[in-house]
Amino acid sequence: MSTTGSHLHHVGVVVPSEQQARDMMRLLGLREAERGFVEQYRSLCVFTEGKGSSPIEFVIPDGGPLTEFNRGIGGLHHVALEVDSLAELTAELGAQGISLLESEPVRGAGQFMCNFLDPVYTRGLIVEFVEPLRQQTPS
Amino acid sequence: MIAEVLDRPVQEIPDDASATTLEGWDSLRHLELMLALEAEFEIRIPTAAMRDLGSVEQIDEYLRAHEEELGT
Repeated sequence: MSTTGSHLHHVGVVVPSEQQARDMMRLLGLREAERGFVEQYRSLCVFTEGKGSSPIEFVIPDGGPLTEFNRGIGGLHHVALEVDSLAELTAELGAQGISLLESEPVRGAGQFMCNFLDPVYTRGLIVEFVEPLRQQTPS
Repeated sequence: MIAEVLDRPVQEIPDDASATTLEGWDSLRHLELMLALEAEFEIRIPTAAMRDLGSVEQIDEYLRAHEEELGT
């Protein structure tokens, strides 16, 4: 599978409010790197600086099913693995009868596209697959 | 059980409810529901079957088809 040898891109944590995300960043000594609103999941996503390691993504739902995650308390939500190609991964998984949650990759809050493995395949762990968007160099 | 997992009143779960029609029945709640069924009926639902049990009717049919394996 295309995920062989892939590295952890980020860990997603759902928090009920932006204030709680700020409090947690302060507590853990983390700094914000970038943020964006993902309409598909009706969530503000705040990425911390990685400093050479994998960042944390704070997911702050603004309505939608994620507000009910862990009975509204939030918590560790997903691990994201970086892959070279979501299209190749989708084809490989499809050949094994495994489909991803979204019919098409979703633009993430950062410079990447993403899709999710249905948690029934892991019996609980939500795995996000991330394909970084490569910056086109002028020819 | 579906109402309990989805945290909604029973009367809000019609017989024709499905993951595509019922708000809140997302992938994570679906997994919770499948694991709750496994615990309640002492069965192991194969992953492929879990994906297919996306409605009240399909769950009902599955349990009836596997009635002899159910622990309760």
